[in-house]
Amino acid sequence: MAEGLQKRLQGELEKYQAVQKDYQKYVSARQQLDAQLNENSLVKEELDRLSDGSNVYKMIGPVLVKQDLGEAKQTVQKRIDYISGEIKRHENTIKDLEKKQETHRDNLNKIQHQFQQAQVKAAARA
Amino acid sequence: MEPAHVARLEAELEKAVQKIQEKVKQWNKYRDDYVALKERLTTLPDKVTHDIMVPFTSVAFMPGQLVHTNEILVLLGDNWFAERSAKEASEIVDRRIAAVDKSLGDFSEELKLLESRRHFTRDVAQESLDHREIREVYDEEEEKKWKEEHRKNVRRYHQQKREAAAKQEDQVNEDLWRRLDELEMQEARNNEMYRLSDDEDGDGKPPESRTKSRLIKWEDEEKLQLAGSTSEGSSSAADTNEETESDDEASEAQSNSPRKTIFFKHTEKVDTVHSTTSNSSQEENGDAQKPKSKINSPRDIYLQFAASSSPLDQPKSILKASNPGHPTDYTSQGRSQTICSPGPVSDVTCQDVETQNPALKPANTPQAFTGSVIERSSLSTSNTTEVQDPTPLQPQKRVSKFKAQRLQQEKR
Repeated sequence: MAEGLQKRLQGELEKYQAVQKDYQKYVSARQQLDAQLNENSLVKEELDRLSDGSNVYKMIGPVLVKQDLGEAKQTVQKRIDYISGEIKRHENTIKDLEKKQETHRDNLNKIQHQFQQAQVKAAARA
Repeated sequence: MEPAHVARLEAELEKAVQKIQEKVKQWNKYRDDYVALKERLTTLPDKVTHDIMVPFTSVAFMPGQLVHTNEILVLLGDNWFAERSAKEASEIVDRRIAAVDKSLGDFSEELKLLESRRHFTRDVAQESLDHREIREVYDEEEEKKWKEEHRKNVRRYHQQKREAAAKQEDQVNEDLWRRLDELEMQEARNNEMYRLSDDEDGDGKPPESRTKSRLIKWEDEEKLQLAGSTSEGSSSAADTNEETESDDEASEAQSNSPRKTIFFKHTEKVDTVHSTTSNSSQEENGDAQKPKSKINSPRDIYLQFAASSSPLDQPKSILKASNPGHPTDYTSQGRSQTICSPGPVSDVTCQDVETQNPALKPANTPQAFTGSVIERSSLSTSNTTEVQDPTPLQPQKRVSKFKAQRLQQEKR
């Protein structure tokens, strides 16, 4: 009886840890996306300040490539939208992962409790 | 809070504070850099070309020239560059500096919060040394069990109270009945006693000057003798105050016994002044028991406050005066007024009759009425003068009673 409980305890613990890892991954990803979003909004601001005719370059690897201002603006805007979408997706996943984590935690607690009771009984009998 | 927890909290707070402080340092550095850059930007366009030492690596330099002093590629972010003049670039730098300042402001706010939290935890740590935390373990199941037990106990308690109350009532009722029986016995005995004592006091003394104290006691047979002795002792005393006090003591001593005794004392006063003073003194004395006023019946009130008056103020007796000519007249005397005054007992006795009929007394003692019965002619009144009037009329002619009466009234 105690053996079975212990096995169950182990299984639940592993599952819980896996879920926790996923959760953390997604949380950090979201943080990154958040930073990127901020950066791109800054860029957009500066590009808006630029008067027409100014040269805009994009660094692709070690090369600076000249870009059209309008095009650059659009590109930056698109990037911003993409990043926002990504952030939303990540947030949803994070919520789900959190719920899963909660259930796993409860299961773990229950099994732990049972385990302790079993141990106490065994100790009383002995 | 346990000290271990408090210590851990403090450590964590310390770590957080340090982290933020590092960040603040970094950002301050950025700011300084930006300020220096701005300065450089202002000096750059001063000259068309600058002679500088161009760095190849971290330790190699080469003399060279800085051309295009006004063309500045500004990194906007995310690998985007913009070609700007020095002035425009300085504007950008200004904006960047403002952003850095804002971040620094946020950091300082966070630091403030953390500091306050640290202070609080330190205070708590201090408190936990002085105070003791009271922990109450709450277990749902145990609470439920306790509630059930409590309900049962309360029910039991109420039942017991009810039973006890019922028993008490029965007990009280029984006591009352017993007391009533005792009272009846006492009354019978008292009546006997009074009758006996009445015989002793038949020596012609008017009732007002007599000092007689009677004790009405509601007690057992055993205590009766005790009380009898005390009554004799108290009746001999002249001062009523002393009597009351001794009675007080006697009754107090006896009241300590398991049986409750109530003592009454009657004393007839010589004058009203005395009676009032003694009354007031009695009130002071007799608090432990029933107040020692002599007033047991309305008649006593009269006795105390009006008995001192002379016989002339006495109310006229309702009994008719004795008629000497009547054959059924037991009294041997003439037409003196019979003064019937209320005596010390509840029965009314006619004094003169009483004094002259000692022979009749023993025959009447078992009866309630101790006075003698005097029959008179229906026409006669208590006025002696008027008694004489009808007698000379009678031998002359026979007149109806009513006519005679009318004649008499007309004469008046």
